[in-house]
Amino acid sequence: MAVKSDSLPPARRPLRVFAFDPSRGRLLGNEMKLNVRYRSLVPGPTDRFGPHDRIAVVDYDASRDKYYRPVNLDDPFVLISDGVAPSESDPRFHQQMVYAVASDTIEQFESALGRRIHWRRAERPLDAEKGWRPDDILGLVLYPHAMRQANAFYSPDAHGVLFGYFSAGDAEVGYNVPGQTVFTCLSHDIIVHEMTHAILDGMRSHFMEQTNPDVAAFHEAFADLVALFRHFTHRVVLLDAIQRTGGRLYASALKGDSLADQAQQAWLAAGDTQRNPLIEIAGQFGEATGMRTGLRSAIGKPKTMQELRNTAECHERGSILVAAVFDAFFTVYIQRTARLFRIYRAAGGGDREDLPAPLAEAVSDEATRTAQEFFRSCVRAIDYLPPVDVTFGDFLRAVLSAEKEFDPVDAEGVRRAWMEAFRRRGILPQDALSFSEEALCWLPRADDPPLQVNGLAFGGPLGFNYEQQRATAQALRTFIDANMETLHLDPKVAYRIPSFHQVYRVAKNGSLRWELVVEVVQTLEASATGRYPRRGGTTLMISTHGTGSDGEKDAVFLRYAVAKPLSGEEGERRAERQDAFLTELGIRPGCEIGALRVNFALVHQADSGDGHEHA
Amino acid sequence: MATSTRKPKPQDAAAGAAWVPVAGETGIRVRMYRVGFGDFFLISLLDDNGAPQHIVIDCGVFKGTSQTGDIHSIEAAVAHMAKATGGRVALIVMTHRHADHIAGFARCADLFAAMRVDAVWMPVWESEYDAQALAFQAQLTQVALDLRQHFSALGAAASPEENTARKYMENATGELAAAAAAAGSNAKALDLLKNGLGVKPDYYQRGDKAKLPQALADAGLRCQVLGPPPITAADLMKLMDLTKGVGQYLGKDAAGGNGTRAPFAPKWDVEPADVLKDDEKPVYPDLAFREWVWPRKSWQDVTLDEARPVRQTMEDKLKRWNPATALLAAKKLNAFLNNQSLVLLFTFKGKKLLFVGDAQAGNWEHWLFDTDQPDKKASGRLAKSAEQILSSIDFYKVGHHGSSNATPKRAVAAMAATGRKFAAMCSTEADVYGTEDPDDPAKGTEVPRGPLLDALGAAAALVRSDQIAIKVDGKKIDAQAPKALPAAAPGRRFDKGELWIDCYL
Repeated sequence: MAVKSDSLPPARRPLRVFAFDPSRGRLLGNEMKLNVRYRSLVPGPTDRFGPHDRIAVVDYDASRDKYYRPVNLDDPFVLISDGVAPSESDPRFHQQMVYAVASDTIEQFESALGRRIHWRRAERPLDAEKGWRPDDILGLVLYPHAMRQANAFYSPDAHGVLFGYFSAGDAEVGYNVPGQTVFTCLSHDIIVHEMTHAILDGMRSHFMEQTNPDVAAFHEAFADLVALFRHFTHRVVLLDAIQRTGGRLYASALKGDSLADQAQQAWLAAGDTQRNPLIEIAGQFGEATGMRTGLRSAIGKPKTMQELRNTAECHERGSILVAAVFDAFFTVYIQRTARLFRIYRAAGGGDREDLPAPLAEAVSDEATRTAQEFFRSCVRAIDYLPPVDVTFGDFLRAVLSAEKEFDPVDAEGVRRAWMEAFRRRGILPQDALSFSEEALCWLPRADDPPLQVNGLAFGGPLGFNYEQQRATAQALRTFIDANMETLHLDPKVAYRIPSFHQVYRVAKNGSLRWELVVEVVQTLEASATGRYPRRGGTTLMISTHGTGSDGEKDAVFLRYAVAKPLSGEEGERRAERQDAFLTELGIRPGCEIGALRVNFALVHQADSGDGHEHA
Repeated sequence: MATSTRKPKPQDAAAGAAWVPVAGETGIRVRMYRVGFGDFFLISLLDDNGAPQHIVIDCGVFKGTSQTGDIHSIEAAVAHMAKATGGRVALIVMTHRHADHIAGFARCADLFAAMRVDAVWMPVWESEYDAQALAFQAQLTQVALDLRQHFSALGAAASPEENTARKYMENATGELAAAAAAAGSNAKALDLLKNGLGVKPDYYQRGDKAKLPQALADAGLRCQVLGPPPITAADLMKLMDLTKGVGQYLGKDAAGGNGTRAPFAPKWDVEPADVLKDDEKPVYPDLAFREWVWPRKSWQDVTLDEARPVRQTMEDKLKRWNPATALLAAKKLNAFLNNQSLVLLFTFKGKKLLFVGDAQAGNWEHWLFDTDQPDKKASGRLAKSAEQILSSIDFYKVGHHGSSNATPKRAVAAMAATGRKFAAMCSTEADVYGTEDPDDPAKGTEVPRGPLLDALGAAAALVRSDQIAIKVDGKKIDAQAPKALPAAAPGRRFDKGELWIDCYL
């Protein structure tokens, strides 16, 4: 079904989607156009090709054992109107929206990472034969109407994301009609959230193993962060919110129009306060399940470390991390826009007036730029995380380290904002000696001379070819075998290399650097520990550049080794903590390592019975 | 020992201390050990010589959702029982294979193995002679283990309901090896009961004629088996294939009860069989199913012939991965095991004692309404036989630790109808399962259930095991629901021991 044309393929494919969800109607840019990367498609839509980041929309409904007719986005009538028009009753629009938002999310990640992503790969031993495994996800399958259920989740077993649909409650349903069908696949937030789970699982396959209370919460928080930061790129909505909050984007409600100031007393609809959609997640889903607000909000009162310890529910725990990141975000946003407001006031503008359009646009630009930077910081930080047993403290370390690599000077105080926001919530790396930047970044290797890694291949921007992959793997094994102790690996335990990938990045000063990020993981099965299985491992950052160096030809060296050791004093401490946690969870000792994996199907399920949410 | 104990007759010394019945009593003593959340009963009957003959009904405990159900007194209780009976028990009854009814057999296997036991009774579902039952129990255990794993993997993310479901499954499988010092899997307990006591168990279902050990028959005991329903009973039969049941229930329950409400107009529907039917222009392109083709094709095209067989692989995965299904299966499985409970009516010198294990609706209905068909409505007349039994009982072992799903309202009403007060014992531990609803008592899920105990308390002289404090190894375990024992009445009195409450009839 390839398109025959005299023209070159276009770069983008415009597709219509909701900026939030159908409950927001057509107002205020809720119906928007996403210009997704152009891919050759077959009906579904399903990507015909794609390096490793292919997606397929398959509309199978397991609750009814029926398929729904797939959309053909190359149909001329569909093309001419930039895709199927938004409609809740046309499944083809649902398929289109899932495809468009998923593609867009992938692209955002790839541009922040500076490389292609791939989906989850099954665990293989170091000397595994070449070839695919049944559990490898080659193309992610998206099921827009997988089940009649107030739930959506990423399932590695189903090789994709299952979106549910359900009937809204009978009372307190906000913008919904009681009993109306609510589709999770029409929520921009939910699609981005679930896609992020899938992408993160592809990057760090052990982050779904609950070895401490932060792991599952991290997955949730990260997915929410990505969804929230996307809001600040929906320009029309953003402009409206800026005008109606006077630029105070953190406000939870939008100011009504001037003529509506007394409408509430007159019981008019115009007097209803509108919630600020930018800082809440999945508004329609939350309302339909009787929560009166969105599923979660980006901002909450700062919780202390003590409260953090007592919060085991992973979404609640995750929301603390989300709030911390947004605290930092708003600090930077306010700093950056302060100048604009000063100019405005200097020219006679008052605080109480509606913002004039040019100012709103300038503020909106800052908001978008800042959100994109924060999103990039979050995503880039993943490369700096240990391969297993991640904690919120590790995330702070990773963000600060990645930022420092990117911009050593930090003239705007972005890192200070991060640190302050995390400090207020008591999120502290466990072994940090102080709350200074030096103490909170990972310590770069200070080997003299640097530990060189020889024989690495340089791949092109699309990644390694097969020979380069082989050569890199061989070079890494030689290097790791010779440096087990230095890398905090247990010499008595076999190791695996779940992933290595090269990264091309341009630092803030414009210099191009090449890095190789390597995950090394060691596993002790329950039979070896006598109790629970355990993982340890080290993330290696191998680089051409040190801080302040211009790089040296043919000198590629180990810059960071971020370790969660299996043995030694720290290994024992981790084991103790993990065993206590797993016992508390009620996981059976002697289980296989797979038993530790989070099942998002149940994490995300809304409990329709009592109005509590788990999504 | 009890304060009313008189000096025992010399010939009873070896068989443990006996007692002398007071006026109105016929020489029955039901001893309920306080073991936490679980059942452990010892019935002793005085024969014509005044020597006690003993029956043990269940011996188990389980920690439950709160993890506090096991108060670690069962070992001491079994040791005491072994001593009190002189190591000689005429009959051991296992009502069903939940940990809270059998864990003690595993934990104290050595003590039991050293005893002399004349007979062991189990529900027909345990019979190794019935291939259908055998296959079913094996499948049930496997499903329980799978579900248990499934719920465990949720960890901290589990909802309260899922946590409870996980505990159900642990109750169904027992503590697995090396879980704790006090481990005792259900498999171990079953092995002891079937092979470790030197006697082959008898397997019973409703209507079977019970073969009482000689000593009990001689003493004048009669027994009628009221449950479980036979394996062939329709309401149970349809649950036979549990794994298949999971799939079957998906269609109905996941769709919110009424099944077929479609989210879109019918014109968008495509039957699975038609998706790849037409060679010229299939509804879905073959590429949509590339993910399931083996060996994997990462770049190459996929053919229709490759896509067709794997379509169902994908559909099955989606059907199975429905979390509601897992919860539902867990609940069904739990109720199903409870329904296997052996329900026994003992008659001794005119006094009737009803032991119902953990029987839930299906089991009760079968004999209450004399039906093979499940009838959710509490309408219809009770069967005459059932009415007769309930209106004349002298003792009732409260079903399922006082939970709301195991003593039908109709049964309570029938028991209360005559106005004569009977004795009732409920072995339970408060705050282990469920929660009370502070605003609306009609909505609570607590075990034991307040309104049920109130209703029973009005009709009967009711005691519960956690109303007394006990002492184990010098450590005091406080009462959960402290209350004085009911006053004695002609032919019925209660007495408190160091680990138990006695009921003399």
